[in-house]
Amino acid sequence: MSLADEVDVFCGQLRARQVQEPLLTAKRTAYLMRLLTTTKRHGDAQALLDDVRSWGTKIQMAKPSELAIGNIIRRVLHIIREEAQQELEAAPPEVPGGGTESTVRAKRQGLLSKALQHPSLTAARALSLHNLLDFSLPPYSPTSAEAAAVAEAVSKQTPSIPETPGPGIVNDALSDTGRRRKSSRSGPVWQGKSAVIEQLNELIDELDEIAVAIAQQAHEHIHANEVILTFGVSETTLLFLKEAGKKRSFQVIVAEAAPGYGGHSMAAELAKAGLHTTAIADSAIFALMARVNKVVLGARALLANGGIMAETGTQLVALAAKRHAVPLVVLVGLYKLSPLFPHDPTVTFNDFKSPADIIDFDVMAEPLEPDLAEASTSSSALMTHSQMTDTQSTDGADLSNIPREAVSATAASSAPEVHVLNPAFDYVPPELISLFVTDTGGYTPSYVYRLLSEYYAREDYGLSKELMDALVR
Amino acid sequence: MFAHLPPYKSVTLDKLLLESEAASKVHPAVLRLGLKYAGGAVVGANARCLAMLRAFSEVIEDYATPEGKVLSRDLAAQLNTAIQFLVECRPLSVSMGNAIKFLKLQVSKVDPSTPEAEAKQTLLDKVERFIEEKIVFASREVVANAATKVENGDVILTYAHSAVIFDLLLHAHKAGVRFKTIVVDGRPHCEGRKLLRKLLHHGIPATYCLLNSLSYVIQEVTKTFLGASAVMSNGGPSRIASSPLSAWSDLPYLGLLNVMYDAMPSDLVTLIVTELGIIPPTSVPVILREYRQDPPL
Repeated sequence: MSLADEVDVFCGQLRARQVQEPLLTAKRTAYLMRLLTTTKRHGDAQALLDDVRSWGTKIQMAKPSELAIGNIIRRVLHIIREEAQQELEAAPPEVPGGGTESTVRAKRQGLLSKALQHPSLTAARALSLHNLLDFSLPPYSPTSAEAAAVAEAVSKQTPSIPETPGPGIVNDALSDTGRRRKSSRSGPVWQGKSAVIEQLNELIDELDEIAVAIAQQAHEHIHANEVILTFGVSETTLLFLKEAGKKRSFQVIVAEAAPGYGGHSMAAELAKAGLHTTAIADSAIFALMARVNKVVLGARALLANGGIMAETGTQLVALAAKRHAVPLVVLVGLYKLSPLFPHDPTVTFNDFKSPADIIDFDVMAEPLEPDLAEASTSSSALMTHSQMTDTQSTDGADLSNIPREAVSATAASSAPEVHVLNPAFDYVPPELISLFVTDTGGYTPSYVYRLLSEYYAREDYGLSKELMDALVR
Repeated sequence: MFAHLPPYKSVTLDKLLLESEAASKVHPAVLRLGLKYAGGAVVGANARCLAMLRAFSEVIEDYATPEGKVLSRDLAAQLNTAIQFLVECRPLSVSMGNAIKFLKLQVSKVDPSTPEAEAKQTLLDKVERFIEEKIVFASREVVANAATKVENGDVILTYAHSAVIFDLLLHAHKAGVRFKTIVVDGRPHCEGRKLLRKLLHHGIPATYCLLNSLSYVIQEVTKTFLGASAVMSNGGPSRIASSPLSAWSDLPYLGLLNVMYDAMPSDLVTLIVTELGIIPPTSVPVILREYRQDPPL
């Protein structure tokens, strides 16, 4: 199958919600990106960057609410940028005979001024506190007009990374992107590609080991005789608690997490592993929180401000934990780290599911007796999805009697309007979270912004304009 | 860890007759009521209290003082047995406790010289008056008081099912106030469905969602009305329930906990609507003091 076919299949599955797991989605995205890098010809880093971005946008558009896709794309872009940057740094200085330490230093301007003058040159390496003072800062004071121009240049993002003078390839200082594109069709192949592919392989391996890497830290976070509360089902959390259970004895309270009731299978799995487990209804979370020592749960996405998107109901858990001053530990693989901000978190990255999970149609039909006959047969259903964000949804078998359109005029005139809401995710603000346990260690929500600059290039945060428009509907 | 909570046991008639000493002695009306409590057929503080007083009325009506005994003593003993039986079926609600206190006081005050029929009639009247005043009238007053807080354009959120809340919403709806309701529901009882049905039946627009979606709906809510089982109780009775998933009991480490009530901290409550008026939670002790000074009916 060609790349285009593979991408189409994947996009179709995303739209039909056949692929739901963020980890699986991330892996598939990473595979596709590796396929793209290996099978297509790219003349230089820029061509590869453009290609990855356009294909990545296509995949992400299939399911804008799945942030893991964009995260992986950004990671790949970052890898390519780093590689290009390294080549640039490894390249011998162009000035003949100017090989002394001082001239090299002189050529390398202060990073801050570089960032301001040539956004392209510093594209791959973000300016940060630890490298800010590495270089001397030449006197430079940008006027406001200049700064605006630079900002525009950054947003347009056309870094022209000079070609590497590899063996046999003449470095004719191609700075014109148009010319380079032409050459990419047939001509030279970018030399850094093999290194990029190697790093992509590492990325895929990393994704495979995330749950294990997180679980290994369990002993640092769970102590003897503690009472741990968790919410719903999460593979990572299950592995984490099981690992802790190998050394220590503690109790687990599992909230069932309606309407998915993932907590039921979670409780059964934990009990099978020999942990003392108590299953409770969601409504009992607040009542029991007073006896809990720590809340441990998984997340769907980690946002730029340190907040998380997680299964619905997580915010209630977080609020109850805050009320009782119980630490809330979120287990999250860094592939879920997204540089996006939750401007309107209840809607922005959310998704709505079928109301049939919440309440059966017949329960609703009964009190509306006079209209019962028509209501159940005609399309004027009384149950609606309000604010359905994903019109592509094919969730549940009850679609026939639950059309997504709002209540029709006939129904509204004869019966009161009913909405049954079933949002998929909850936003938990950073102030309710104590700690993130990631595959690379524990971080506080206030540190998330640093992680972002470590894993992504700043100019990739938005990925593309059409995507941002889709996200901020 | 949860050993302090009274464990749940399923109650059936056979079991009761075998195990409970009280069961064989109580009046059939009380027996019927006890089973209804246990089975969850009668729920809600008001409904349970009302049902209990009606059953006790029957007990009093059918009562005949045995030879050589005094009505006030013997009837009190009979009622005690009945109450003990009811407790076995399900722990008493605070409202029931208050009603029992009242009834016992009345029984103890019956003059031994009064003829039996007359004494019984007095007691029955008093019970009726208690129901009228403390439950029916009180509910009506609460509704009337709370209705002043429902305004046009309000989005009112309520949790599960409460008879008073429904009366309130209906009252406001009939008064022509245009408002929206959001019924939030929680497992395992899903009592909110009952409220939703009633609301729809009366043509009140409603949104229904589970507790977990609360963060999503809460932003458009203007007021939240909750029915309370008891005010000032610190942690109500709880019970540990068995699960319908019988296979679960095969796992030795797995327990199921199903608590019945939440103790809501008073700082989360803005106002408490009572039959005596709308008060801030900090003023609850004032009402309690007034009650205590109130001469009994």
